[in-house]
Amino acid sequence: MSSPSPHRGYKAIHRRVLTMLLIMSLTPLAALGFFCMDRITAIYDEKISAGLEAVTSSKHRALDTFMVERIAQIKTLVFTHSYDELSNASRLSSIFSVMQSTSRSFVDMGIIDMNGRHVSYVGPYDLHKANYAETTWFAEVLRKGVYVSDVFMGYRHVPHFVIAVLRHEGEHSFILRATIDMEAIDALLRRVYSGPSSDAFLVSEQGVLQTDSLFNGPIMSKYALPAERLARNSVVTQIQTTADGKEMLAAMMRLESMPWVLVVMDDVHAGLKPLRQLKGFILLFTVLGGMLTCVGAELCTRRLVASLEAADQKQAHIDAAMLQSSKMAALGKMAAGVAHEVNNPLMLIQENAGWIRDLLEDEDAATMQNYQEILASTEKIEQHVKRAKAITQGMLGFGRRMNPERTEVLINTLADQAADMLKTEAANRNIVIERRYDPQVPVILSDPSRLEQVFINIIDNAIDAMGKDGSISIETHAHNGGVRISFTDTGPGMDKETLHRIFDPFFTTKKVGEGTGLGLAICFSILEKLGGHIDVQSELGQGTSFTVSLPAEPPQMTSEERAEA
Amino acid sequence: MHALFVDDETEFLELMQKRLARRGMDVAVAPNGQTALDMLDATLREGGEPFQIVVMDVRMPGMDGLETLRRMKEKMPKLPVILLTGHACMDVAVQGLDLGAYDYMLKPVAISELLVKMEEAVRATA
Repeated sequence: MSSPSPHRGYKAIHRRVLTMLLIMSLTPLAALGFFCMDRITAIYDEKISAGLEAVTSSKHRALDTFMVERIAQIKTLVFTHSYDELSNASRLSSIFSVMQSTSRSFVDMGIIDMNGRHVSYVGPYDLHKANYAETTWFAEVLRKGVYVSDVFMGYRHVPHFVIAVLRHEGEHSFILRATIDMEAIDALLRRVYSGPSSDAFLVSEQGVLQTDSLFNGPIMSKYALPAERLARNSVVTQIQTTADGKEMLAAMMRLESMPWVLVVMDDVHAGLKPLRQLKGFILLFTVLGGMLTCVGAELCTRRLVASLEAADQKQAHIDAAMLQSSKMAALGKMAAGVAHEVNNPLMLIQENAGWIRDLLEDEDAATMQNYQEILASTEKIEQHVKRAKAITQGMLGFGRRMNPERTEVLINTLADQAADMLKTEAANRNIVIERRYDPQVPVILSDPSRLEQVFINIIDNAIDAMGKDGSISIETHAHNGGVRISFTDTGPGMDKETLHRIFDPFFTTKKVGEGTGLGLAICFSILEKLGGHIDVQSELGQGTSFTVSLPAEPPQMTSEERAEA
Repeated sequence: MHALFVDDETEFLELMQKRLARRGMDVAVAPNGQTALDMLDATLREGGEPFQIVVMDVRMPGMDGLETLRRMKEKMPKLPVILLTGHACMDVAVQGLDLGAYDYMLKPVAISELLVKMEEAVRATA
């Protein structure tokens, strides 16, 4: 069964954490952005509508006032002056001059008899011969007494509209007709609202423009009013699309004084420009914030996963070390037990062999058949007992619990002693021992004889591994208040399998009889008791490096450990 | 030299007896602690040839080597005792030395080494 690769596991964690982080941070950000955009749009729409409505309402008042005043002016004129006065062209002209001197609201003015002909006229047009008997306004004024017309072309062939008032004075009945100056109306409209993206105009209830419109055509063009009738004194707003496809916000209000509707239009987009900018900023900040969040989340996740991986690796190291320790402890106990039981029979074998040797001394070597063979065999037995003894004593040393000595140790001196012990052996094999000591290494409290045992073991292994020709470099340096000693050889190195089992008791790469496989296991065990540890790095063909780390002083043994030692 | 060997391994006792006899040594043997103590008592009581040295195993059924050593030292404080055992236990060695053992040796030991140690002990306590 194959386990999933740890790398893939971290990738999955990375993905999950990142997704969670992004969901948790981007969702509120997006919601906030959306909410802000929505609220700002609503507030802005409201504000623009309210602004347009206010403009429309005030313009509506101005127009109504203008019209009411003009009608009142004409009515006052007709009822305060006699027919004789008004039918006199020069008198009418002087009255008209006085009126125009205060406000230039009229284009012309005339008195018309019941036959529809001018009795007198003052104005720029030649209308003396005009007959209005058949016109709409004439019929309406006769019917209503006072009449304000819609815009029409008339005899002057220019769009205009009139106020006409009928008076019966004795035997005379006549109509005073005045033409409103369109310029005055236009000025009123423009004064209130003007600009390349806005429009204000009047439209009759029949849907005919009563003034020029910037977006809807010249005066007297058709204009579609909303189907429902507009209530007086209330503004209706709606979005309208102009002929060139522009979206406009239109506010409409009926005039009080006449059946006309005031329409004020504003370019929605021009009005919404600041809003668009604001929305753009919000969008930009949201996107930038989102990107920043993404980058931040990615960086955070990477750091998190990296620390997790590091912690896992550290834990794996600790687990491996603990596994090694417990394996050694169990094997150590067993090894010691085995050694105890084997030592007694070994003694018996040795003594029996010794007894044979003793007895052989009584024999005559020359006459006794097989004397030499028996002696040789006895020697062999003794030799192998020695070998077995070395193993059992190694096992005992490995299994033995110990109470480490706490003596001041100069690690450089100790390393020197160990190297000196083996320098002849190394020299014989043309192996150079290089010593690179840090003079600043601190004096530590430790067990010098055990440490020397460890160092000798490592150096001896290195010499054996190299065979001949090569070098062993011994380096010391201060580390975390304690010391670190590394032994690096130029030997053949180890494969992964060997490296994995290097500290296992009874694991050896040496020929049978040359090594017990206990040396490094004992080193591991000793260093553990001294509060230090041993690490190994090796690559095939590249050599091997053992690093021993030691604390400033060994840990104090618990009373339990002391009792067991 | 008159020596007493104490060990529950009788085959070992026989071998030591035979081998040391060849080396001019008078060796008595005891298979357990109690027998050894009795034998010491007997020499004290009956005035036989006193033992000059005792070589004793530590782990024995019944009374173990340390207890036997303690009792021996009560009777004969000057008698040198060498502990010889297959059990390499530091604590036992220390206890043995505390109780007055001359030394502590680990089996298997070469007879020549043992002889040297025995002679050394006898000389030291003479």
